[in-house]
Amino acid sequence: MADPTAQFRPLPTGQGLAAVYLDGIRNDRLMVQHCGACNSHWHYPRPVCPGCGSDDWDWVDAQGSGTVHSFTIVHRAPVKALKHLTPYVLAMVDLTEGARVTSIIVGETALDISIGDPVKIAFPKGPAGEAGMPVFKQVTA
Amino acid sequence: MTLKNKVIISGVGDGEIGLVPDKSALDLCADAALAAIADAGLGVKDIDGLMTAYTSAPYFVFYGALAEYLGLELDTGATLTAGGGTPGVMLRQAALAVSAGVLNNVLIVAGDNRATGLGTQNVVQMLSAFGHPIYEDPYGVTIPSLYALVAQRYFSEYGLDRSHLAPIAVQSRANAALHPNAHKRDPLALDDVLNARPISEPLHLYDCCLISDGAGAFVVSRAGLAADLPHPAAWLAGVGERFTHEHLIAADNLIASGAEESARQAFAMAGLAPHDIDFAQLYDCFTITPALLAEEIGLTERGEGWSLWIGGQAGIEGRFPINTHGGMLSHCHAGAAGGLLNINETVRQLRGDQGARQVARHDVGLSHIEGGIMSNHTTAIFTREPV
Repeated sequence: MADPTAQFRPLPTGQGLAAVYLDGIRNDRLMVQHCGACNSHWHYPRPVCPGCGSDDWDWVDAQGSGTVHSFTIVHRAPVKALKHLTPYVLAMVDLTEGARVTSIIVGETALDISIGDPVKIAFPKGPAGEAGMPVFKQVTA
Repeated sequence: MTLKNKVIISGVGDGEIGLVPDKSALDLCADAALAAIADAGLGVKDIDGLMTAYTSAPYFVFYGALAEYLGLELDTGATLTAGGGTPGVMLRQAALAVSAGVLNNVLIVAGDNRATGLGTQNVVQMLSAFGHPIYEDPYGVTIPSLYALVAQRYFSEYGLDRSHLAPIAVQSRANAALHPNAHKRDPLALDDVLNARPISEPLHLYDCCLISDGAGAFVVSRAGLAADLPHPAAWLAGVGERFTHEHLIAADNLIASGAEESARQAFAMAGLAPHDIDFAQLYDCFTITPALLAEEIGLTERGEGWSLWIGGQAGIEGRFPINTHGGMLSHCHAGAAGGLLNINETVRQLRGDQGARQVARHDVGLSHIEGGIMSNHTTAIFTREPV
């Protein structure tokens, strides 16, 4: 696979709730929402709890630990700019708090990932120190 | 409100399918529309409603451009966007309007010239903006990758692998070979499917649907028109729809979608059960999709949807024919035309005049169409006679 340290994905811009979330990422924090009514956590940021519809929620910092819910090894990139990064491992991760995030798995053993494997978040920085999309790495015993 | 026995499909029509470099998306859609209107024994001035799916054609209001091109005079019209599920949504909206007596003959059209008009690379790039623009797309998600996440989870849940889905691609091609206008009719062997290059593992090339040029259209009419048609009407016995999420990141469960609920509604309205269905057309953007839909609809137990394709059972002469035209894997996928041609095939099979492709039992047919990543679902049950 391509050098796992090269699996950098620039952070997009966003407004409103997305801006709060992206600011968190820039500060190495994975912020999820917590519902005061039904006690669930969710990602991605939305104005009401997707489970119960309540708007009684708070931001909380997730630990950044979780397990692989599913994954795929992408061989056909969507755009030419990503072609040199293939194959890469797109995954959905169930966070310890219960929210599910989509990300990529990086590291030497990424291509050997399995559903259920424990993973931990990392906050990559680009060449100029700019924040990128958060990624996950396998947790080795 | 029940729509049972109040609405018919009075006519169906296809545009040219495959690689059609000399036709624009508008012309493909116009051809399909005129064919459907003629098939219903109607003229363009009999159409009082038009719904079209989105296209890549350069018209700001596509339905308006098509209506103007065909000389339609409409009481209502709209271009709808619900992904590949758009034809199902349009069918149900038209059925509601017709059953309420608001409209008489609603023309439904979907098509595009994605293969020759856009080209594969541009289509892939266009569809790369399919995920959530902030939380999914920056990672490099593709539509195949999102369905691959579904497939991988499905395999993990039930101890399966890609070999269990491969017969779906093989059978689709065999069915398409019996269709005179299918995009892909050359034989496809199991080894071809298994040895194909990976697109987004566990999905390989032949697990993915085609990118075609093509179009389809049908006319939704009041049941009172049935006696006057040149061809037997297809009666809408039941229809259900369910939306649960747009982006996969927001799906509660990767392998249980709104299909179960849309099917439950359709069966309840029709007063029928899964064992009453003679044949089905199940949306097949990827091989995982119809396998999952089969079990969500209740045609099999959970985890066993793939088993309907074992040993040619889903073939024309099989125990339960599925995607008798070859589906989107081998017949056609052009914009939102795939799901529409699924409905057209159900209507044609009910009529019983499809020659080598005709299924033996054709009293009750089911069409299931979905959009997004198992995001929106429409289940429609059609019958040869009112039930």
